Amino acid sequence: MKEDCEKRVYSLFKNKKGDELDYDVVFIIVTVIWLVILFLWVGNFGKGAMVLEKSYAKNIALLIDTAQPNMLLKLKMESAFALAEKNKVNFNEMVTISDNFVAVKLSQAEGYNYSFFNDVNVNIYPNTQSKEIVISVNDYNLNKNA
Amino acid sequence: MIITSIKMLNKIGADRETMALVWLVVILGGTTLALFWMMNAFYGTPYDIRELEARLLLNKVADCVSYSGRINPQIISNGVVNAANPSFLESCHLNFASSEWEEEQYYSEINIYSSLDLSKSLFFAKKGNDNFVLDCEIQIVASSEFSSKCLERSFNTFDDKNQEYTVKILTAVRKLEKNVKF
Repeated sequence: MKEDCEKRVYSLFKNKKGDELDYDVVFIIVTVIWLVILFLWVGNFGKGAMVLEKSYAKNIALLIDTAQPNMLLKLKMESAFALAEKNKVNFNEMVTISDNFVAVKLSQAEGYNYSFFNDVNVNIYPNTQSKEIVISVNDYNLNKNA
Repeated sequence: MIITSIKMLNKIGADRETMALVWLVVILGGTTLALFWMMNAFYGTPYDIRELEARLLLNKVADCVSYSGRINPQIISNGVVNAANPSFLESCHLNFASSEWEEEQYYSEINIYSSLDLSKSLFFAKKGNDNFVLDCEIQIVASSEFSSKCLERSFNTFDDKNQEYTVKILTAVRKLEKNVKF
């Protein structure tokens, strides 16, 4: 059984004529495959939940800080919608606002929070058709302000 | 250590294929480690948006103090300066408290001077965590990303009797843990 397995492995290094292939060729193939895997991993890392959560939470917090009452802001979040769908996150829970911080959750993990200073009453909801988040800035909170 | 091991393999007369395999593992392993390190350095460093926040806060306070070139009548009306009101910024729709942080992470203060005499402040107000003022003073000498981001701007404005005033605004944002890699 073991010999049979060894024969199969060695046959990978032989061409049709039965001559052994040069090890250099095999190593080059292995190296190329390894590099392709690495590049794919690097390419996909930037689109990962952790990176996008931080980026969107900070973006939305800054948007709210610049907003005035009665503004309607729309933020295109195609990559976030795709990731949330892939990670089975409910679109309504993807971006939430409680107190004065934005929470973005694109995976089953905890998500990412970022606070803002503009004391406005904000509603946020997803538009699944256009893949954007709608931020509705209603009015200033009246509890503390004169 | 790796080089020593390879030299030892050479000495004991390892065949060509073994040596090639060892080198392959060393090179690919090294590349992978280097890439991991670079990825961690790049993606592990958070976007530092404190300077933007400080600028937005400053603009918001400026709009509260003066709008369309006229000073807020709550501060100066009919040429009379209302007594220093440290809690004036409470009316500027700012909320510095957050359940996310134990301490307030923002600070803002305003000083208003007559444009003819910049030595004596006519009106002063502040809001937030004033521990950051020290950070702002240090930043003038040596800027560090491990301290609060401060921004100071001044502009001139007029009251309803067309008297000119200089407004100086200072804002500071800390939020180190969310914007700086330790």
